[in-house]
Amino acid sequence: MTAHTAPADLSRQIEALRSVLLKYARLQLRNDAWAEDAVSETVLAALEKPQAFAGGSQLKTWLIGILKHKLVDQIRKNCRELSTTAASEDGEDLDDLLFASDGHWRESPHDWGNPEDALRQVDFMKVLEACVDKLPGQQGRLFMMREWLELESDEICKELAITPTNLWVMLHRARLRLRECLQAGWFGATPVGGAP
Amino acid sequence: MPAGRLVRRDTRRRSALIKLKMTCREATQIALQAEDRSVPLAERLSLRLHRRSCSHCRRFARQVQLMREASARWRKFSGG
Repeated sequence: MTAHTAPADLSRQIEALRSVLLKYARLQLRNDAWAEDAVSETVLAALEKPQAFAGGSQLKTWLIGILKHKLVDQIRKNCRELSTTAASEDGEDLDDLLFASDGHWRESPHDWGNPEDALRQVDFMKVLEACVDKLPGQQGRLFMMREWLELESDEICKELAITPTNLWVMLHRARLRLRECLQAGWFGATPVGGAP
Repeated sequence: MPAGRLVRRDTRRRSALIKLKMTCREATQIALQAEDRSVPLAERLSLRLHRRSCSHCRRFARQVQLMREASARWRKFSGG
């Protein structure tokens, strides 16, 4: 092994995780070509600097960490296209369905029970991922930037040149949609906290 | 002071005032915005006041909290 090439078995392990990386890259960018680029750059960076992998942490954790940086790079590179994505593509406002004209709930929100029961389960994580995947493009991107990349709201506004109000409107829609999807796909579909 | 009126009449400073009567729709909006910005004290107090008498919005608040915890758990799940 030289300083600049990964040992064969590490290379194989990295390649094996490519599909996982691609899944999250797609969830974030909502664009297959950009997602492929981000993943290729991630894999390349990992193969070029295997000594940066401290071994102690999991390989996947290390790669996801690199991927997150590459995703921010992609967002910067394509910010013009991202910021002009029309909000109209992003579907109806759920508010009118949820609230009567006097501003009251049409239907009471359901009791989701003890969060620990749901959150402990891998199946719940899969439902959550599927629900994030179902978010309309721009809502999904913004939600991912906020919740998965953990960017601050003002950073997101700066990167995409959108106003804070626009950001809040989009995240408001995303969070309400996510809630509906979790209700339908988990909390409504099963006894609270139970397996599907 | 009748319910539904603002504590002060200056509508230009509306956002800085405590709303005595907030609708569930408004309460929901503020609850969700609190995930992405620091909500001014007046709005937080209005929200708290509203929730005191609204079980629906208390339940919604627990759902939002669960979603926040779910996101955190998911970040770990995806990277772990």
